[in-house]
Amino acid sequence: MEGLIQIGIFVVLLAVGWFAGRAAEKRHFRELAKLEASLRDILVFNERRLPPGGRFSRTTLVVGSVVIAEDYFKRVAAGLRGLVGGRITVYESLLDRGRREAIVRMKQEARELGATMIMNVRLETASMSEDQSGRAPMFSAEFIAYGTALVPDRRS
Amino acid sequence: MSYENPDVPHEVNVSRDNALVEFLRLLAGVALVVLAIAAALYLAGGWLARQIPFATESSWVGDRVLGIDVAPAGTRDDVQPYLQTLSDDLAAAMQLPDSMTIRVHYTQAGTANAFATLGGHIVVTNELYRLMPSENALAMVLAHEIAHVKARDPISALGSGASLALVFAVVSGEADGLAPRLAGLVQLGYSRSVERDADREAVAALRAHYGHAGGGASLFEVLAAQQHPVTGALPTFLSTHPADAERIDELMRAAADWDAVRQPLTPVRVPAARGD
Repeated sequence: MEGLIQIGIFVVLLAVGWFAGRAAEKRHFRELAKLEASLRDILVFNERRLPPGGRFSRTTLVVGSVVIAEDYFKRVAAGLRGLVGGRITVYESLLDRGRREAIVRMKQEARELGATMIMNVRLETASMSEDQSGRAPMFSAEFIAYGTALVPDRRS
Repeated sequence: MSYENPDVPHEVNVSRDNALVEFLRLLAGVALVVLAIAAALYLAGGWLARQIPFATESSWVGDRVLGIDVAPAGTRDDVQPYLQTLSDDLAAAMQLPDSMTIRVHYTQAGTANAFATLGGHIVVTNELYRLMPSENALAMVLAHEIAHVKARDPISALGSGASLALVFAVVSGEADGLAPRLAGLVQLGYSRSVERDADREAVAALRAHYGHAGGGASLFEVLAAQQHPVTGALPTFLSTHPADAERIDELMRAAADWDAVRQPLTPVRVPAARGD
């Protein structure tokens, strides 16, 4: 009986994770598509040098950062995948969302500065899942996008 | 030189497969593998446990009946010696190895039950004893349990159960408390074939001891009549042992050559006390 209750709790958590997680992910992807479209005019490059002939009044660091947590379903599905190996597709979409959101936030900062280009863009990811006991309670990851925003010289 | 950002198709990073379908398929696959491993370990654990010498098993258990509080039953203290003598006779008829000793316990309990456990201990409840129509039926019960001890079934069940507990502990990982309970759920008594073997052995013992196998089948009739009037639950001896018609038929067939007039059943020598 007690075993059944535990299995029941597990199934409920799994269902909550699946429905809530899927709704959040769908909404996030919709928002990302909209924001990316509105920020298309800010160009991003990983090139380190300034474009030749460009005249800029200011170059400055811009950063976009986001932390995204998994849901219970993703966690269990990834754990199961960890037994047999292969693509963890549930995390692939999570990491994709994180990277895109970080770039969007970096671009928003650049927009406020009046920049039209961001050069030398770098992306970094950090896992925040481990605590000191060595057990991973919940997986979450921080994504940072940073680069050099170029504000054009309006006088030229 | 002109700079531009092309439109990037972001969907390349997102799997088109339904995550839930993938998860369920994976779960089914892993469950299948775990079940196969559990089955293999169940059989291997049972087989390995049987290899433990009986002397070692007895020395672990000693005089106790493991797991059960055996309360001596009733006011008559001559039932237990009677059961012990009868089972010693049956054990001799079954050619039980000299290293195996059977110790019978007569215990107070509300349900009609008898079982064999580790170390050659056999427990008979006063409720079952009271219902026995003849010594032959009682001998059938005892011989059946002695056959389990002879076949090392109790320790084999323990080995199988321990192996399953191990599988669950490894698989569940974090759910430590869940493992032994699940293993307990799976360990639901002996298989049908084990019971049939014990029945055959018991019939042979009855024949060797009384010269015929009569009275054995009546045991099941008496127990079936004890079916609980409200819940319909069978006495434990029947519910843990598959009491199918096939099993009764086999006992009937074994007793087909029995002549009830010329070979009367032996009455129970020590009647159960009324208050027992």
